[in-house]
Amino acid sequence: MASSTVQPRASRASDARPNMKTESQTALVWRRFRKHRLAVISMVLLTLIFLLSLFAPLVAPFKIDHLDPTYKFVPFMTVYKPTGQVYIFGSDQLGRDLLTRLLYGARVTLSVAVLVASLSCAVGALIGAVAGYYRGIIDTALMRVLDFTSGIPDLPVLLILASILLTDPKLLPLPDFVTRIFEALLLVREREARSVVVIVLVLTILGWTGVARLTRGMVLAVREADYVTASRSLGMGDTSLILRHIMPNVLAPIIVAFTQSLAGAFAAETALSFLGFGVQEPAATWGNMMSIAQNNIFENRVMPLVVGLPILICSLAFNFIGDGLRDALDPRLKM
Amino acid sequence: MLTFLVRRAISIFAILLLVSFAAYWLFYNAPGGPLQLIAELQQSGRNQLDAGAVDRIKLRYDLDLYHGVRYMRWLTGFPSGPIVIGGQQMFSGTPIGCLKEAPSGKKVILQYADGTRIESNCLRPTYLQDLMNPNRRLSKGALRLDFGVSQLIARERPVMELIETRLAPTLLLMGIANLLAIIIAVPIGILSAVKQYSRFDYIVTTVTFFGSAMPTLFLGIMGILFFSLFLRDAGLPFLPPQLAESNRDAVVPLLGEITAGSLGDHIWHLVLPVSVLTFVSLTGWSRFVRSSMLEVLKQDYVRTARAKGLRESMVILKHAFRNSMIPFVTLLVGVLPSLFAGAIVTESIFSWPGLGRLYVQALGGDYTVAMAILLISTFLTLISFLLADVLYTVVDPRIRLS
Repeated sequence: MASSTVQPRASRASDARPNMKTESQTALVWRRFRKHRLAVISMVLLTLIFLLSLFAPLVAPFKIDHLDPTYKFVPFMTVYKPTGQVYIFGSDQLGRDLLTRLLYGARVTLSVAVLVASLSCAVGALIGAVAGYYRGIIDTALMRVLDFTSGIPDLPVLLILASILLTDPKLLPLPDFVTRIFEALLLVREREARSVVVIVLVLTILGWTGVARLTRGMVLAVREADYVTASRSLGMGDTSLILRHIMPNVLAPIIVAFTQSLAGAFAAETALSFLGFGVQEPAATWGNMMSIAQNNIFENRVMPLVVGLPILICSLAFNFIGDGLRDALDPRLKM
Repeated sequence: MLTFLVRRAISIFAILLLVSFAAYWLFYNAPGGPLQLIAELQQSGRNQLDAGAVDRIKLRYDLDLYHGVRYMRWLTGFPSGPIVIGGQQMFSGTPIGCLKEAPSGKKVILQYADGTRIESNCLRPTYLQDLMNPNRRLSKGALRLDFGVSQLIARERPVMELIETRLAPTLLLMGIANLLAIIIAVPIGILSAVKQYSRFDYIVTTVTFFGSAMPTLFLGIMGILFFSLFLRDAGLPFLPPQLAESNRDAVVPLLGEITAGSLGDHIWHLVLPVSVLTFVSLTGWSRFVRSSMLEVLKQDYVRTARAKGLRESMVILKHAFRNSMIPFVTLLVGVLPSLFAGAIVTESIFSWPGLGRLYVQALGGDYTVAMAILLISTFLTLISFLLADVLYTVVDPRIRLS
């Protein structure tokens, strides 16, 4: 804060005098975002979890395939005698270290969330913008698709697609290099890498429509604005008009939608793998760890807490960041 | 209005057809189902199956038919045998499926009754006349709510019967939870909007924000952990962690003995899942009511009502509240489909014997059941959208349907 030399009044364009240093849009948003303390804390926490899971092989106390049933459900800080490693958060029913599995699981769970949110926002924004700008047949087609997808119940369809596409690889052939990339990125085996790709695709298919509807509505309003007409009369082409003048003005709600779909995809992935339709054991995800925790809840009461808290923290953090960004980007959207 | 309804009815029908066709195609190509079960039994070698078993299963569930024909029969019950026109059987020799496929890569020569020979990779084709086989199940078709019989979960039980037995627990759970959520959410939302920026409002916004960000999964399992296990460990009255009724009588501190299957037992089992579901919908709805009430309170007509000298309670209840309920209608109608399959996660956490859990089980290979639940819940979703649109015109006469 102390380093900031910007004067608050400068942000109001109307009374900015010629020589006064004006604040850029990004700086303005960042200054407003910083005021939302919970959002900042969430940002820090999420970054930390991201980094930890990114360097999981280095920071995790155990190897991912370590198991020893004689050490099942050990309490916090138990020392593993043969090697001297420490079960910091205890172990599960096979004596696998919970912290290690949480870190590796975060790679899967968080990558799915980030990928689904990015893909559905990119696809949704593109289609929505094109439909809103050009109108005509593209718009009609989009509206029909939106009518159709809004009429089908999300979770049941999601479960069907996931369960069938996951059981039969022939139904959805994936290019080899895609699964390779995911194998390397998530440190899982080919089967699980395939599951992750399928889940990302399925969640994106169900998720892009909301963003498309939002973008289309915003573009419809913006395309009639005077500055768009002005640019067009100056001879600007459609593509640069959309990219330079329309998109920046509809970006704020899309960014907010991005954080919301992060939270949504995160919840959907945990629910899917909890129900047994997502990434399967022995690969760890937070959802299937939660399912193990519940199956053994009578024997062990610590594991549900150890697995549940990260789920809670991330889900709250996604929502707080969304809230903070919404307030920072566009105070009018405040609920 | 009438043209609107007719158009919507047609579009609902079209969407249902599309969904059913797509889902049927997926299930048709999916592994699992009764044939896989038989294959596993044969492999394990424990059960002696005679050679005809596979054929019988195929006949029973129409598994030998081509996709299009099978879908037609599933949807409408037609064709159920040779087509009779003017007392004459037509097309009885048309192949519509294949009971036994030739070993891969090999072709066989088939000879028709009229002497024509064709090359095919099917050893024993099914002809239209074979549909008269008494081993086949006569279906009235999904359009007339006959979804066939269950293939795995409850062998040979009609799907509709299975759904009926699971419907009551789901309706009970969702009905009570949603009712409670409305009863609590509406007053809370209104009060916190009327007293904006008060301490009450502050608490409500904080709690509801946390609540709506909390995953059901977390809430449910923490509920079990704290209210069933920790309370029992502490010797306090606890709640059952799962199911809708006890298997045997339970003794609970302070509450005394609870007889299995009694009314008290049912209520006892409802408390935890209902609380979780109520809390989840409650938080979202009260936020919604609060913001729509805040919107209305800013309107000119509210200021007019105040200027007329009306009592504040009158202003809020008569002028503001009723108008703030308009957007709430959509939300309420959205409950309808969730009554059916909305509680999939909650039911799975609490092993609640409802439709959501039946659906999850059915996806393990009992595709006739899954199809039925999917279609019914799609239908309910579509109907609820229609209902919302119609209700809008009732609560807000400015809106016209066209």
